[in-house]
Formats: sequence, structure tokens, C-alpha cells
Amino acid sequence: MKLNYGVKKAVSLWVIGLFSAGQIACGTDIVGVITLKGTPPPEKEITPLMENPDCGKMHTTTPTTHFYVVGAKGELADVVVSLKGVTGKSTGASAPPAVLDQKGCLYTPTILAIQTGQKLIVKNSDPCIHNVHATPAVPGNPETNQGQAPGAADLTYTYTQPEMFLRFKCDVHPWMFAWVSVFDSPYFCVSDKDGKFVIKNVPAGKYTVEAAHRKLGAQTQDVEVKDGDVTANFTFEVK
Amino acid sequence: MNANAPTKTTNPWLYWFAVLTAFFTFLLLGLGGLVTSHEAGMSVPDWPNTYGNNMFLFPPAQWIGGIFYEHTHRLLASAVGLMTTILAVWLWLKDSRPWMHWLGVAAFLLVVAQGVLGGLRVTMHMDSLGIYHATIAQLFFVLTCALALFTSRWWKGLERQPPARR
Ligand code: HEM
Ligand SMILES: [Cu+2]
Repeated sequence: MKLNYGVKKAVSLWVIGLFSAGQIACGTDIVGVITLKGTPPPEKEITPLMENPDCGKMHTTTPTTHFYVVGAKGELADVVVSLKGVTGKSTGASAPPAVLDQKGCLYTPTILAIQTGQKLIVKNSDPCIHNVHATPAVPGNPETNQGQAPGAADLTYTYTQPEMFLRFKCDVHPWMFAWVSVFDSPYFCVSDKDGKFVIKNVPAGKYTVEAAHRKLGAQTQDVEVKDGDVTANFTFEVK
Repeated sequence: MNANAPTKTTNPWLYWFAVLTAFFTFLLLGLGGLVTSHEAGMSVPDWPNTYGNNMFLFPPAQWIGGIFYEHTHRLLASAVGLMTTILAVWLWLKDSRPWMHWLGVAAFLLVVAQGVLGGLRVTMHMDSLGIYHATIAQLFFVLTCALALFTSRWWKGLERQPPARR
């Protein structure tokens, strides 16, 4: 019995300890919803894709561009949300790699975000050749162009400089583009199809949250993180 | 060179070969323009290989999209390069005018430089090299036309006529 009591005590102490440790590690999140007001211009059909024998047979209907990914209530996806001016905080070297796939002669996803030093893996899931042509604009991030045959090994990229919407393209299929934003910290998120974003574990302090859309530009909002989650909603408008 | 010797019989084979080289160069210029206008210059990322293959063994089934323009441009350029080399050697051996020997050599050097420039534009990702590549292309085309002209019977007829009597 005595022993049993001792064990119980130890376990309960351990649980309390774990709980408080979890509290600290969890930190505070900045959350929000992005909304689009107005009707965006219609997406364009990618007709050259269907005219290409290799690519066309992988689709039954003509794919379109995905410049404005908007839900029924204006929930806006593919907005890159980050904390402006937070640099030198990259944990990219230990972060799991991000993945960019080439499938049906399109990139998926077309908008993604990584940290400096984080691996970006580019796959070719297609039965045809692609060339992966990265065209950064910020000095220090090298332009590269590599061929990737069907079934070829994955290509791996890392970048040392922060850059918004670093463009990947395929010159074999001139409609293929992906835009990878590179941040010098782990504090960023790409909004999902519900327009939602979560920037996790933000240390206490004052921040400027920036929401950037490739076509609609960028907006900022100042927030203060103390205790408890902070909400920052954004509304974009099509002009 | 003996200026009074009745010139050098014209060689119609050499002349027609020079014409053919100029004609192929003309086609190559058009194809090069298609590479640029389809922004296909980078669709074959390596050089002198083609997706790791020897460029002459790259399977035609994979000449798709942008690769079609870039790869056929390289193949035709290789043909023009070979023709220019033959032409230069031929001129050196058979044309009796020393300045024509050197014009042939100049064409050879220019076509090599042009090919290397095209390759470097791809491997160094330097769009700006495309400007020099396009300029040398025009110069080279003019040179091939000049070679065809200078090997023609008509030109040799002019050479034979003393200018005073014209
Ligand atoms: C006799 C040899 C060649 C000639 C006369 C030639 C001619 C041309 C011409 C006229 C253009 C269009 C330029 C423009 O309108 O901007 C072009 C573009 C191009 N050529 Fe060539 N070319 C030759 C050889 C090559 C070779 C061997 C390569 C090998 C890779 C090459 C690669 C390219 C590329 C990548 C472009 C696109 C340039 C751009 O978009 O900036 N060319 N070429
Ligand atoms: Cu492709």
C-alpha cells in the first residue's frame, strides 16, 4: 500500500509537471480568417495543357489557373501570413521538409512557404519530363534549372535568404508555376480553403502581422501577444 | 597570286553547298526566334547533354512542349555547324583566293562561338547572353550569304572584269 501511494504521488506530480511544461511550450497562437470581398476575375482555362498529349490525357476537364481560391462566403485561401521583421529565428535546419509535387502537369500546391535552411523537396509524379526552373529575385538565392525525368529522384532545394513568392516554373510546360515564400523564422502560415491561418507558439511581444496574396497585394495589422491567443482577421477587396 | 591568270574555274558544287549552308542558317534563325518567343530557352536545362542523354540520342517521343523548339534548334545548329566546317575546309583546299580561305575560317570560328554562347546562356542562366547570341546569329547569317555570293559564277565574272571597262 505504501509503495502504491508513493507511485500515485510520483505520477500525479509528473502529470502536473508535464502539464505546466506543455503550457510553456504551447505558447500563444495568432489566428485569423481571411476574407475576400467582391468577385475576382474569372480563372483562365489552361488549354495548352489539354493540347499536350502527355498532359492532356491526365485530365478529363480543362484545368484552370488558381489565382483566387475563394470559398462560398469569401474565405480566401493561399494567403501567406507572417510576422513582419522577425528575422534570425529560423529553425529550418531541423524542420521537416516541405514538398512540392508535379502532378498532371501542374504544381501542387501552387503557393507554399518554407523557412530559410528548410529543405524543399520537388517530386515528379508524372509520366513525363519536367524541368524545374527556380527563378529567385533576391541576391543570395541561386537561380537553378534541372531536368526531372519520370521516376527520377526527388530534387532538394534550400534557400538562405528570405524571399516572397520565389517563382518555380517549368519551361517544357509554360503554364506551370509555383510560388514559394521563404521566411527567416517559423512564424508563418498559408491560409487554408476556409480562409483560416494559425501562427503557432509566438513568444510574447508586439508584432506586425502581414497577409500577402500574390494577386491582391499585402496588408498588415499590429498585434500584441500576452497571454491567450490573438486574433487578426484580414479582408481583401477586388478592385 | 597571279592577278593576270584567268580566274579559277568556278566550282558549282562548292557554290551550291555554300547556298545550302546559308539556307539552313536562315531556317535556324527562324527556329531560334521560335525558341525565344515560346520562352523555351530553358526547357532543356543541361548542355551539351540533353536531359543527361547524348543530344543526338535524345528520344523524339520526349520532344514535347518547349523542349521541341529548344532541342530542334540545337540539332539544326549542329547541322549548320557541321556544314560550316565542311565549307571552311573545302574553301581552304579548293578556293584559289587566300582571303576566301580566311573568310571560311572566320565562319567556322563564328559558328563555334555562337554554339558555345547558346550553351552558356543555358548553363549559366544568363538571359543577357541571348542578346549576343541573337546578334552573332545575324552576323553569321550574313557571312554565309557572303560566302555563297563570293563562290558564285556571277561574282567571279565581276572579279575578272577590269573595273575601268564597266
Ligand atoms: C549556328 C548556331 C546557332 C545559331 C545561328 C543560332 C541562332 C539563334 C537565334 C537567331 C535565336 C533567337 C534569338 C532571339 O531572337 O532573341 C536563338 C535563340 C536561342 N538559342 Fe541559338 N543558335 C545557334 C546555336 C545554338 C546552340 C548550339 C544552342 C545550345 C544550347 C542554342 C541555344 C539557344 C537558346 C537557349 C536560345 C533562346 C535564347 C533566349 O530565349 O534568350 N543556340 N538562337
Ligand atoms: Cu513540366
